[in-house]
Amino acid sequence: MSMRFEQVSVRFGRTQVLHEVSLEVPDGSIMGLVGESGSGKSTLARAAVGLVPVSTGRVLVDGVPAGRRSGVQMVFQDPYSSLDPRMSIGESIAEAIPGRTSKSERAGEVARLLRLVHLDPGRAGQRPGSLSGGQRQRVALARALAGRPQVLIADEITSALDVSVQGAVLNLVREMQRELGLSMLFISHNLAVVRYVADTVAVMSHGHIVEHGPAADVLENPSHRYTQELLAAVPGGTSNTLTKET
Amino acid sequence: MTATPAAPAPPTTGAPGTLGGRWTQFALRRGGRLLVSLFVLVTASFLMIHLVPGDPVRAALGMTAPTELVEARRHALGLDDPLLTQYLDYLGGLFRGDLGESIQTQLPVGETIGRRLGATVSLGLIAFVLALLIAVPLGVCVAVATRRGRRQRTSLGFASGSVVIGSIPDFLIGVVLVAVFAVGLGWLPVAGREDGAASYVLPVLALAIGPAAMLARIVRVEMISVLESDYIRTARAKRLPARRIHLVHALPNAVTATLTLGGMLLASMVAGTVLVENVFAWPGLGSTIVSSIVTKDYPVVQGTVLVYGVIVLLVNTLVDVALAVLDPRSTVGEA
Repeated sequence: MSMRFEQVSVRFGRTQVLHEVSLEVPDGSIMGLVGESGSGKSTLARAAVGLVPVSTGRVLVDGVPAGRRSGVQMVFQDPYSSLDPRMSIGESIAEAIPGRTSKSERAGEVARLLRLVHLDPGRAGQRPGSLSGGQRQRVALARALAGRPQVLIADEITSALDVSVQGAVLNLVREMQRELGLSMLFISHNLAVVRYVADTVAVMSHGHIVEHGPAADVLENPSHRYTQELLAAVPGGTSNTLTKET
Repeated sequence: MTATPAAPAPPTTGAPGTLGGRWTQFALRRGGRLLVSLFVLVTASFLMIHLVPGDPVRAALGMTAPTELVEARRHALGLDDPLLTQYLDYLGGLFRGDLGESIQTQLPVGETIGRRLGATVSLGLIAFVLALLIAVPLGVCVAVATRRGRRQRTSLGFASGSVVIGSIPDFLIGVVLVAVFAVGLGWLPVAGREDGAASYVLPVLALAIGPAAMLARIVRVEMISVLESDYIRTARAKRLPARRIHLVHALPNAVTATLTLGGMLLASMVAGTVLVENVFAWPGLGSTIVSSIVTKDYPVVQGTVLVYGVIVLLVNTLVDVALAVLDPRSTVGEA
């Protein structure tokens, strides 16, 4: 399923954060969204899941306005604070499973999701405090997948992790996307990471999408000056940091 | 990619540093603190009778009482023994449940306290439960309504109102309640405990209103802070119903400070019964202690102060244990 932003504007008080943003995340692919801090990337993502109100425009999932049951789920940046510290990871995941299901069905689904993100289902009873950052981000992924989304938004999901753990989480993201056929909006300020996971890339600056297209085109032959500046600011370029697995 | 190996499950008992070890350390620390506090309390209550200027027995029996009677009563109370002997006798009596004898009534102090303790404890507990029932829903509702700078007037009105109400002494609230609902409207009894449940309404309200206002303020502040947490944002992104977000995710995480202050309020409510019981002629320990002070019946004052102190210490210990169970990260971790 594709997700389309149509002329989306978001305003916080007198400050306009997004200016009539139009963007389409193609069905079954990963779109990378890059831009400097404060460019509006996270606000666009939050507008898609209803965390910030849209002042004009609309967000469509498979042509239908995104509502309470839109099939869009989001994984957040900080795995250390995004899970309820008093709730076991199993409960956090089970809570996101839609519909009325029996206790045993939910437990089975939680175990399946934990296996899917390469975590031992036996840890379902543990609280987030006993997990490492990478493991918590896997739980956050499982939690998002529990909502059976058609579109997954990953907002800087590796930026709070150690470099050694980032690669494992990125591989997991690619694996999930391939296995489940998800459409994904992958937000990052790290161009190397975006190049590694994304099929297409959109570049955001001051609440506007300034350029978008296939990842290779945008990141190797940028046409907009802002994208060129963004790439020029990366020490050593974007291509030599991570090598895409095939 | 391979599965992440599971971390070993934390043992429930064991060496220091493990969860079981930390719980043992916590129990030892709290138990030790309680024992030290009890020792200080017992010693202070013992010394109280010796800190009274002049002769407490003479003061109690009056300046015109015959010297023989005063001496006899001093001997009966053991006040002519050396201080250390008196202290050891006092400790021995406490272990036997003997708090001495009233100068005025000649009755055992333990018996007097035993007859009146229930009335005070029931008053304090009902007032505490009422304060919680008012404060928690009120604090949660106002927090939800005023978070992120919404409804500034409601926020300001609540903050000002809760401070003003929380600052009024409970006995003054009691006097106003009596004037309005008992004397003015005649809906409820003015005083005493003879009218069953109706007798409890005004004293319980007098004790509960101020603490409820202060507690609601704390609940609101804590809830607003928790509602801004990342995991609440995650819960919203899960598209959970607002009620579940507020009651299942936010409230339990806001409970630590609420419980800490709640315990202090319960302790202050127990102390608050001293004055409120006198306003409502409530037959509890509060009226006993005041009447004993007036009649200079020091053994009764001594015993009652000791019982009040023990209640406050037990409440504080219970709150510590409850906090440790609800929030092991901070409380047990500290051990």
